[in-house]
Amino acid sequence: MASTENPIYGPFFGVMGAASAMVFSALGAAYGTAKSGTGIAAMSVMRPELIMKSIIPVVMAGIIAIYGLVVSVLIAGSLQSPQDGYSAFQGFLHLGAGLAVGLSGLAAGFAIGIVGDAGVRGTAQQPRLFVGMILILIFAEVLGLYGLIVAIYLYTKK
Amino acid sequence: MSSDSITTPLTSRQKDTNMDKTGMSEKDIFSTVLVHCLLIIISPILTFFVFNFWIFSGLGLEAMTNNIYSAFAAVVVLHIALANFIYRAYHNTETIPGFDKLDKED
Repeated sequence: MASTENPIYGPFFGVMGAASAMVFSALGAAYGTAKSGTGIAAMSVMRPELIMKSIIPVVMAGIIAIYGLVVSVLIAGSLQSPQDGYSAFQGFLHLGAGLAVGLSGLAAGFAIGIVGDAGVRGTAQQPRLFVGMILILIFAEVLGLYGLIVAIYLYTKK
Repeated sequence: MSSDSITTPLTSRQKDTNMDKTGMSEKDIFSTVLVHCLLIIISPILTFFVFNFWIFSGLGLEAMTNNIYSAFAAVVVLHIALANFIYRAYHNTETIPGFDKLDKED
């Protein structure tokens, strides 16, 4: 029986957390892939030998989605019905964890997309830009990793 | 630079892309990228579930701790795979000789 401690709406927040973790990070990853993909397509016309180097932004955007997937699977694994002791507090924690990784992933995906597009086009003209592009991409990627760390930290709270 | 000398390196460049001096053909590049991308996608997911069941049965941890260790292991494996790909892309793609010179003259 649902009580004040374990209300019937508790799992709603948890489910929304699991969904938003995946949805928002997939949004970011999709934007990053599409934006840097247009850059790669434009660049490869003149410098097809650089394809392997220029795939890197796409791979990094894909990793953002894996962060969301990990948190989403974690949250989904610990969802229960209120009768089994799922409290409102746990629901809020799971919503917070999902939003943390989801929105960080969205931001990181946007950054990776824009940097990947400009970086790939630039690398085609000046190959020495490659190291700089990788560094900027790593810093963008780390934003998503911060979200993952906070999400796991929230998830472990009891 | 005249338009003639711009088009000449272009055609030789096109020849180079199919088989340049390190022997990376179109097929080689495709298989390399495919293998790395599959590794990056599959290995963290596999690590998560393998660790989840292996640690759970082996050490008898609580489900929460078990999940978190598995998640961290998956993220670490993911970054190792990514670093491997970046290393490979950085060292095994060659620029066409003379391209830098061409750029400077443009």
